[in-house]
Amino acid sequence: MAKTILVVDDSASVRQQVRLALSQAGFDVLEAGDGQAGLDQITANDGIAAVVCDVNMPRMNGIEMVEKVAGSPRKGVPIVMLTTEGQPAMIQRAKAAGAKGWIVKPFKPDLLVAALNKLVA
Amino acid sequence: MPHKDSETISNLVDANSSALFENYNAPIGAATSKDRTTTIAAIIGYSGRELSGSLCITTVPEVTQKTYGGEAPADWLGELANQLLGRLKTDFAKRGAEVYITTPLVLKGYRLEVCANEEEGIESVLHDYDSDEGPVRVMFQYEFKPGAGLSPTQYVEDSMDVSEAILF
Repeated sequence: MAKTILVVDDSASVRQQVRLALSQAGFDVLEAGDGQAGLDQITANDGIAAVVCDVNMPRMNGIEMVEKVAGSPRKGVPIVMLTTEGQPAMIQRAKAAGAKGWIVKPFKPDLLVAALNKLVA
Repeated sequence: MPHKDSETISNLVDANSSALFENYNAPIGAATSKDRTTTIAAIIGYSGRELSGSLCITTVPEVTQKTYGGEAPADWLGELANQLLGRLKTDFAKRGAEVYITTPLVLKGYRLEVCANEEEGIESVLHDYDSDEGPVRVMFQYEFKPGAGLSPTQYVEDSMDVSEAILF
């Protein structure tokens, strides 16, 4: 059965690009437009196998979302950050919060798929 | 009198703009065409302890389609602006200046022409380019806090570049 990946990004363009890459790799894809909407979906849907999440978003940013997930019953869901950011301090903060990976945009679809395959195996 | 880092910033904006469009299969070069009419714009702001300002890209839908690889969603140029500013943010961080980025705004119109803001203390870098699909203008505005500036480039351990991926 196909694994379900949640894509959290305020850019519809990026969600569409990620959806295309993951669908072609055999994943089912759900979308959320900000960290709060992502958190709501993760909390409500225990079929989500992994999350791809932007950092800079309105309402709730991606690292805040990771921190909230880490403090919830769904803390085992692996989250990979997909962002324009590349600063070590931010990467370390995400890692400390429980994120499982970091990818800098523009992303290479094969790297994203490989990362998710490893995390949901 | 221009800020001491104005040339550095201009070079960074130029290099990162070229790299971004190259990365999305729409290489750009210095503008030679006379028709500079653009109809779509993306604006994104940033702020930090050393400097703050905004970045604006104006172009035409043919360019956004080329970079997207098909019919581009309305917010795609905003994502390009976000990625360009993200690259600049990384370069600034290597020079001791950390900035925070806002979410982008995309505008459409009939003739969109941005020009330099001439308020005192605000400086603007403006680069005009051509791609095979049409014109691109990148404007980067910045205002340094009094006495602030960029430091010499430092190696930042564990900093990640574009398209790099890591699993923890």
